[in-house]
Parts: sequence; C-alpha cells; structure tokens
Amino acid sequence: MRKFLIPFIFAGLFLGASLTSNAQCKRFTKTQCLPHLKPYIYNGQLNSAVLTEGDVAELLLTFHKGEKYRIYVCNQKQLGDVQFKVFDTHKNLLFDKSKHSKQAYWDFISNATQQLIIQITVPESIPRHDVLNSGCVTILMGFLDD
Amino acid sequence: MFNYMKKIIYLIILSTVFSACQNTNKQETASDNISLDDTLGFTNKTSDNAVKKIFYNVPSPTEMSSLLKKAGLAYNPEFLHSYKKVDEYTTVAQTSLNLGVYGADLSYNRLYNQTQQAVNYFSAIKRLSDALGIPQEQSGNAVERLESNIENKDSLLVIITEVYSNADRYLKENNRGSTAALIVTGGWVEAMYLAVQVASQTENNKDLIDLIAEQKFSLDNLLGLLKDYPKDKAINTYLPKLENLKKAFEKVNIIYSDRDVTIDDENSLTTIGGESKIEFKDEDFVEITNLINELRTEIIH
Repeated sequence: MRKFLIPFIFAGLFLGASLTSNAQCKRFTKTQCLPHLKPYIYNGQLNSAVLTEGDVAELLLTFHKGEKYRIYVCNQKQLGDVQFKVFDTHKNLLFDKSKHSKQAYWDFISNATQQLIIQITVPESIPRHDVLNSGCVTILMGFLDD
Repeated sequence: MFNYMKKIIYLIILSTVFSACQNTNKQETASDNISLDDTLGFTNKTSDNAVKKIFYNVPSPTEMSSLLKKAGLAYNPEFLHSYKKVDEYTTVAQTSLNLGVYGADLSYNRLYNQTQQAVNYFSAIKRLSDALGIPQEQSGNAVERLESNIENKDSLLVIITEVYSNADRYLKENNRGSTAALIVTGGWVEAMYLAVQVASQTENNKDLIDLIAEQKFSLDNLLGLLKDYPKDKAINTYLPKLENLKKAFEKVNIIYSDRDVTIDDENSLTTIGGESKIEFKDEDFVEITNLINELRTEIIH
C-alpha cells in the first residue's frame, strides 16, 4: 500500500509547487508592489507573470488624454535589476528606465489618448548559471483622481 | 523496482504536462490581458529571446467613471441600472455581468458624492459577490468600512478599488478568469452606456464624444481578453455583438501628429506631446450608440 501511495504523494508535491507559484506571484504583487503606486489609483487588474532570466515581456496599455499616470515595474529580488522601456505603437522609444533614472516607476502625462507598449527585460546573470533564476514580475498602472 | 520507477516517471510527466497546461492557461487566458498583435508592427522577437506576451486588461469602472466626471458631466440617476433588481440574476454569467454593471454605477455615484446611493449599489455588489462564491475576507469587511467612511470620497475610492481588484485576483487565482472577464465586460458596457446616454442629451459635447470614440482601443483590449475563453458559453454569446460594435468603431479615424517627449527631471514627470484628431460621421456615432444600448439592455434583462 505504501509503495502504491509514494509516487502519488511525490507527484502531488511536484504539482502543488508549480500551481502555487502563480498565486504567490499575485500575493507578492499585493504586499510588495501595490503600496508603491500611491498616490496614484490602481486600475484594479493584475498584470503579473513568473519570468526567467533573459526573458523579454510586453504589455499594451491605453492612456487617455490629459491624465497623469504612473507605470510601476516591480520584481522579486532574485531577478536583479529588471529594465523597462516604453514605445508607441510605431516602435518609437519614448522612455528607457536605464537612461533616465534608477527608480522603478515612471510618471507621465499624455497629450493624446493612445496605446503604448511597455517592454520588460529580465537581465541575465553574469557569469551565467546552469540553473536560471525565475521570479515574479508585475507591471502596475495607476492614474491620478484629481 | 523497474515498474515502481516507471510509475514515478509517468506521474512526473503527467503532472508536468498538467502543470504546463495550467501555466499556459495563466499566460494565455487568465493571466491578465490582451496580447499584442502583429498589426502593431511589433515582431515576436526583439532580442535573442522570444517576447513573452503578458495580456492586458480593460479600464476599470473606476477609471472610466473618472473620465466621465472629468468631461464635466452632470449627475443623472435615471441612467443607472436599478440596484433593486439584484435578486433577479441567478446564473453565473448574469451575476458576473451585472456585478460589473453595478461596479460602474457605484463608481459613478461616488464621483458625484451620492453617498447613500453608493451604499445601495455596494450592497448589491456584495450580494452578487457572495453569489459568485468570492469569500468575505477578499472584500475585507468592505461594507462596514464603506459605511464608516461614507463622507470620505477618497476612502470610498480606495475601498471600491480594493474590492474590485481583490475579486479579480481571487477569480484569476482560482482559474475562474472567464468570470472575471464577464465582470470587466459588464463594467465596460455600463460605463459606455452612461457616456452615450449623457452625450445624446447634452449639447457642446465634443470632448465627451471624442472620449467615447477613443474607446475603440479599450474595446480591442476587451475583445482580446474575451477571446482567451473560447469555450465559455456566455462569452461566446456576447463576442459577436462586441465584434459588431468593433466594426462600427473601425469607422472612427484617429490621426496623430508627431509625438515629442519632454522630461521634467525636477518633478520626475514626462510629457508625451503631440495631439490626436478624431474623425467620424454622425451616423457612425448613432450606430455605436444603438449597439451599446442593445448590449446593455441584454445584460441587465
């Protein structure tokens, strides 16, 4: 009986660990990221994913004319200094975190309603490890309720 | 011993496949929004690594209502859906959609300081949340907090946003992303309904009409979100209607002048310059209005 149960327990533990990672990512967002969005109002929906070293991820957001916004990129420490860039839909670069500031957020106002692309790059560790680090990355968008 | 090891390997493979399906589901369905599509001119490769697509969402009712208020519109309770109809919704789809509708109405009431109305709508939302099985702790005794902060508009906004985002998070964590998507749909349709109603009864309303026309972007986002749940019956009912609305919105032409970027380092604020010009015919706007009215009528009945 014990021999019969062991593989199921083993598989169950393996499965459980992978299923909880996404839930943990969302909890990480709530506890570690959301407080940094203030005084901007969180738009209420989560944009989070588990990423690995070297991953590039993109997100499309709509911004309205005359509104003040904050984009905040938040990640778990093991991923290092995650970079982000903002492009318009014609691939014109509007903002590059690495060139302008060390802060993880970007405040801006748009003179026209438009869609922008937020591109996230997770750095690769040097020297490169055999086992790549993975962790939660969250992009939050807030607006000011003047 | 060999058979024993074979069982273990088989189960690991099985659980890995299942886990991968879960992860795919998280990334391509519930994970969070609409995929970038190639029409944007972006390829799937920007470096040696494939770009992972994180999906995007739709403006929340709070954000949409805030835009309506900033457009300078007067409060009109006649446009709102009656909170007294809350007990008429019995299916998961009706409950989810109308939770979104009431969410938009609640945000609208808050913006115009209609505190008693806000409490009424909040109670309706609470009932629908309970019906969907969203646990009480997810809303953190929100009704009590709302009542004790009734005169504080900023606190109300925080509570409303928390409740909305907690419900969204709970549903996505529990693989009920299609329910979350229906809530978003109800909220979007109601906010658009409020906007077109006010626009049709207001003169000198160019800013508002432009705001409505600009929602062609958020409709694209909404459609992308819903298409991630191709097996959901309710979503399949609404998708063709929203596709019709998209066709009407495609007649709206938005032309941008060159953008320039100004960075104010002292205040850490960037301004993205350039302007947009919005062009469409009156009959196109009437078509959009009619389609939104039909959608809203279907959702609340």
